[in-house]
Amino acid sequence: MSQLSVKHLLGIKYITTDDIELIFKTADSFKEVINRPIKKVPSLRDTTIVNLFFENSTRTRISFELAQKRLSADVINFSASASSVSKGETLIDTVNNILAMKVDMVVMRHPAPGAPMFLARHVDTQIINAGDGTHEHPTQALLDAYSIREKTGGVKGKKVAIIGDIRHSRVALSNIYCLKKLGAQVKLVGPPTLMPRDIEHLGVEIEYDIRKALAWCDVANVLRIQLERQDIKYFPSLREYALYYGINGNLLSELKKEIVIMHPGPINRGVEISSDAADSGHSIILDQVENGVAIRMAVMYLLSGRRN
Amino acid sequence: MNCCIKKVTIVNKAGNHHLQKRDILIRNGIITRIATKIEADKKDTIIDGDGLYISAGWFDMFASFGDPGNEHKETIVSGLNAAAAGGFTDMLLLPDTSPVIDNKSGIAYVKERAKGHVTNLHIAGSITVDAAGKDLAELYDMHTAGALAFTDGNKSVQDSGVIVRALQYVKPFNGIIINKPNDRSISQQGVINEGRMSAALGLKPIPALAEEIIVMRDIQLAQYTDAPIIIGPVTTSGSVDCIRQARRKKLPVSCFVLSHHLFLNETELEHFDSNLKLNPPLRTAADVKALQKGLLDGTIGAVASGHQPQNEELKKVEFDYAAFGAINLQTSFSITNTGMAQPGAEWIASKFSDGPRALLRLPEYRIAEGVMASLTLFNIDKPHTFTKAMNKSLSENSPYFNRQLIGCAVAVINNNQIKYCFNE
Repeated sequence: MSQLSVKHLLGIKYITTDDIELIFKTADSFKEVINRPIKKVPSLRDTTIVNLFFENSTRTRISFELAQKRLSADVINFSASASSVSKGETLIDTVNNILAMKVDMVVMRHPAPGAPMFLARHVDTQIINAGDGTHEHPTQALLDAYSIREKTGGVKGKKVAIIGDIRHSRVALSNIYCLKKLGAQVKLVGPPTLMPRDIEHLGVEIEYDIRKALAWCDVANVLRIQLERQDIKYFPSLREYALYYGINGNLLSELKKEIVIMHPGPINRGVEISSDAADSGHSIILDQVENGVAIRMAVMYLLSGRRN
Repeated sequence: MNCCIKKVTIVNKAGNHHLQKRDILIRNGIITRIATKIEADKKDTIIDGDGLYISAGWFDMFASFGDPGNEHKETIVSGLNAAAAGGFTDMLLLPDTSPVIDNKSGIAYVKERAKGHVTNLHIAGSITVDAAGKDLAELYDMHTAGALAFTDGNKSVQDSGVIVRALQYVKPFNGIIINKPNDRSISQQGVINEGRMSAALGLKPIPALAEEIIVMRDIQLAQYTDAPIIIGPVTTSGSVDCIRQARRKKLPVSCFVLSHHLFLNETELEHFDSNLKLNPPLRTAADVKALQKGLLDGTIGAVASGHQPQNEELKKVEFDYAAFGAINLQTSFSITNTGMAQPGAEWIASKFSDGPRALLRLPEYRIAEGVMASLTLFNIDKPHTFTKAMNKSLSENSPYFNRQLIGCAVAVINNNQIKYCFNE
């Protein structure tokens, strides 16, 4: 197989295990490319991509932009802190205006779940979801699984604990879909108020005890507390959260085994993860960032083959 | 209006011709003869009723228009046209207009606009001023001006004390209180049912609990005040259970459902279709079954459309930002009949005409000679497809376009007029 089964990357939910494997294989070659002295390939020359960010982002936007530049694509960036609705222009109009300038591909981050699916129904372009509200963040899940594969040799059969603000996390949901497709076991860890009801129907288990979870897992993917998405208080204080659900050096040294620590960033040091844990030998946080570029290059390269 | 309906099966428990195949002669809007065979005059329009049913005119007890205030969504006339096309001779308009119908002049305006239409428009005044849930509106005065019932419509009254006072206050004039059950401190900013789908789609959830806690509360309040209350729309199996138990204890509680919730469940939301963004939301398949059972055992008295027009600009946006609601007057019967796997004409008459009338304490309608004709003619077995071209509403927010549905209304006869439903 040398082609993806989809025209867009809207979410992990919508792609196959073969698609994921193909993206990983392609990312392997791009990872080799970005470690060469000359890091640029002409694969997407004459392709114009817009990065449409309706929500703040630093690393995802930079990672996409870098991936686009490494592939020799022409890149434009569009950032709007507020939603399109509050600006008075609809999402469809915004995108159609940009497409009128002959743009081939849209990378979109948006605060509303389902926004990329909505867009895909109404405009004629290729769409990559760079995070839609609390729904999906497919490239993050791909780079997370890719990093696990790189560090541990494979994802199948691995025990992965996803720890933290599951309720407000698109990373958690995409990770669940991706890890399950690749045959990993997944446990979600966090206070019950941050756990969506019925999430176990996605084939995951729930654990409230951080020690038990760490003793069980091979990989701990620690999520950021998404204070900006919490319209009401779901736990009493950050201090209490850090005490009972935070990862720190002590917890890790209590374990009689090596586990891999991941974090999609940005880190709230001292809240969900302490500095000694984040900077420890367990951590592959910076590898994740590097792999992010390779994964995004692979996704855009493969999707461009499905243009028209 | 003169017509003769030939060989139609009458569905009317209150009358003498229930489940009989008859000819019905209507002259000047009055049923003048019902017999096995009637020779019609030249002046009579002949309607072939063979294979069709006729019942007391259908009554929709939960629908919104946009007049006054949002006439671009629905005017009173366009809304009534949609109601007539859906088979309704009567409907209850919710007060969620702009301004809210919370005083007698609001009622007078709507009444004036609805004059002369084939479909009778009954009006619900709001329970509280501006439907803000705080202070009682002038309920007695609105009753005198012709309000048939009181409800804050799609806004659930949160304050228990307000419901207690409303139930007590309307006792002297037998006022009717309808409250939609939704505890906003639990439903918060939710957009779909809490459960598998909200977990899988990352959309903010509306727990069944938000509905059930108000259902339980309102049952207690009805018991305390010894005053009847209509709770609805209900959508969860828990709500139906609570109301079933309350009715067994002879508490003065009744309820109704929306046809949406008999036809679709939450799994339809997979594609983030904003026309399926409803409040109350589509629930689980088990809830749909529980509602159907509640209707069959009499716990739920009526089916309503929940018609809620929204202009395209409020719907063709991201799911989170889209307005709630769907138009449904023209499809309410068909989706019920399809969703319930064709429950029979007798059942339809009981939930679309007798049920709502009983809930709203209106007299039974008897199909008999000498009575003003107020009738709905319908079939229960013919497949048809609802299309945009058939739509009478000014809004197009229907999730049912181009779906094959079974059964439809054929004509309504009321106010000395006849209106054909889909053939115009």
